[in-house]
Amino acid sequence: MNITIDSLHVTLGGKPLLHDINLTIPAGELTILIGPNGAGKSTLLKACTGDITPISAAISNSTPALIPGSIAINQQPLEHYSTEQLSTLRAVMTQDYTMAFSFTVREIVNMGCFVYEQKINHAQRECIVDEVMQFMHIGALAQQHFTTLSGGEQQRTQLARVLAQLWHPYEQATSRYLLLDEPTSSLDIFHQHQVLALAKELSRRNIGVLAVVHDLSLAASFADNLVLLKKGNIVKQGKPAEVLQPSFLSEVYGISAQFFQHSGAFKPSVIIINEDNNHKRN
Amino acid sequence: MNVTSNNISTINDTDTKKDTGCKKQQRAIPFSLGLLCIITLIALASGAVPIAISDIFSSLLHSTDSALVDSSALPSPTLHSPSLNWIVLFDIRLPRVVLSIFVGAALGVCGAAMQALFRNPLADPGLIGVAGGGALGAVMVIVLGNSLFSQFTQTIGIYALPLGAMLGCLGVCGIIYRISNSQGQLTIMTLLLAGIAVNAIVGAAIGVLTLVSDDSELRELTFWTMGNLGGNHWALAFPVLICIGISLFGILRLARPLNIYLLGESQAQHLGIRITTLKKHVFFFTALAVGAAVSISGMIGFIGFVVPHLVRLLIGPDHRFLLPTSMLFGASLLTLADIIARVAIVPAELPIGLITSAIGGPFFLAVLYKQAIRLGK
Repeated sequence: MNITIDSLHVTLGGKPLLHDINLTIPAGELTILIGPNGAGKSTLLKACTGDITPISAAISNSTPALIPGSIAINQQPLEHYSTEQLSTLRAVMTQDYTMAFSFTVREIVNMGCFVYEQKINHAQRECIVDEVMQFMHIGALAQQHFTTLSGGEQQRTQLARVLAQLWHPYEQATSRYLLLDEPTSSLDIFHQHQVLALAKELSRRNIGVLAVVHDLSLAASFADNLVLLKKGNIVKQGKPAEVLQPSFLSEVYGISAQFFQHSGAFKPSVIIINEDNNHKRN
Repeated sequence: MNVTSNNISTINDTDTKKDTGCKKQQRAIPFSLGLLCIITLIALASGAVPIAISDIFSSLLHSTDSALVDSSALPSPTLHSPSLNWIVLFDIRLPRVVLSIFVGAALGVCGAAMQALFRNPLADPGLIGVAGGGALGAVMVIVLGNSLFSQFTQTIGIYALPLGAMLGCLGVCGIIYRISNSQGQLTIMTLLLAGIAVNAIVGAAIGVLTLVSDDSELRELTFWTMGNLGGNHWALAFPVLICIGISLFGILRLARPLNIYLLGESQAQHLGIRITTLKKHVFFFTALAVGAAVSISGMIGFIGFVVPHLVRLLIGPDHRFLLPTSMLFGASLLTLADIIARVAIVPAELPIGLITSAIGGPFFLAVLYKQAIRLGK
């Protein structure tokens, strides 16, 4: 099972944000979207979450709209799912997650269990919340108020809530999907790697993970599939080594760089060619 | 168990934190219920005609008997006529106290619901036009009741003023709802701006009506806007109690979804909450409850904003505890304010809106000051 995207067009007041996107996001793999600012990565992710309204129901020219029928989850068009049904199939980590009310970390993670709270008892619920907080290394912060946390701690808390949504049942026959919009933006290098390693581990539970990541080396280290976007079009998709070629990176980012893996002992990364040879500084 | 010492320092009470709420939250509802009962008893006992508390209990217990002729239960001047205390208690004071409980509860819980709807602790029910609409309706009946609407006032009689206020409230809320409900989505920003705009227009309209009013009308509308719980017998109070009762029931059931809604609109939707339905329910129940409250008692400010704020400071933002506690606290506060209104300048009465603002304001400042000191440590 997978998310199938077929000739997806997203427009905003007549201007195309995404143009003729054809993509499959398989369950059991980690797919990462990369591209420069404004390439349409977040828009593509939002289209998969069901947040973008079909053109017929579009409110105005100031919100994005797409043609219905372009996206299918588990062989069913996105529009056929109700809000409740979708919530059992996919969990989303949005780019902004601020909150003006002083819930504790534990209360926020607990909210992720809302989707299946009728099906489990209190003890099971506490167990899930504990497990997920341990997973994200925020167990010690359980009673702290969300508003007092640092940016990275807040991001990990929201991630824990999103994971909690998919924690029950632990694994099931119907594939589920985890959609992450820049989940590492506020995190230090240890937690950046931890979160993506986690996402990869989650994908082994018949969950398809789609993430938007800016750091190319991070994307190279963890992705099963990479999708390189530029101005609303897919430039290249495939394995990291195939996508992170100098020609593509130069075309899309305007930098001279390439995929590099020293050996099996090191994670792959994207190395950038030093063009300051003619200008001797320091 | 000294509940009054249950202060913010118990925040780090890690062992007792459960899904059913920490100690503070679990104690909040019984505590505020107890407070309400005590204040209700005091309210029934005090006023221009003091009644002993034992008399209250015996009157209430024997009210279904032929207590009118049971002179052993009540002090009674003659055998076959109701005693003064009985009349004061059942015809005047009980409806008034019950009203103050319900109106206070409505203001408290709807204030909390509004702060959730706008995802902002500074919101209050006036934002969606309830207060302004109610005032417009009432002022129109007062000023134009003898001229333009004389037919209306004559046919409806004593219900004219409350009905006018209720219609005004529903009308203004309806306009604001229509403006914000483009293509079925109640966008919060539009709701806020529409509320501000319509409230301004309504204010201007009330100003014009005030201008054309004569002295007695001016006096009447001024006192109406300052709020008054008195002069209402059961016939007037009953519809209001029913409206408020329905809304309270409706809002209390929204506690869990409202918690999740605070995460953000799209976040709540991803978790399976139909946010447009939720917003519409909150809007409707608030308009109904606060509209009914304003129609019978005029404008009573401050409670809808401060009570939920205060309760949130004390027991946290979880609506499963915040909503019931705000309800009970609001009821207690308003009943207490009404006691002061009736007793302070006996035999005259103070307008209750003045009391809630004049006493509530400094009280809230004191709480904030203590908070600031505690956080400053």
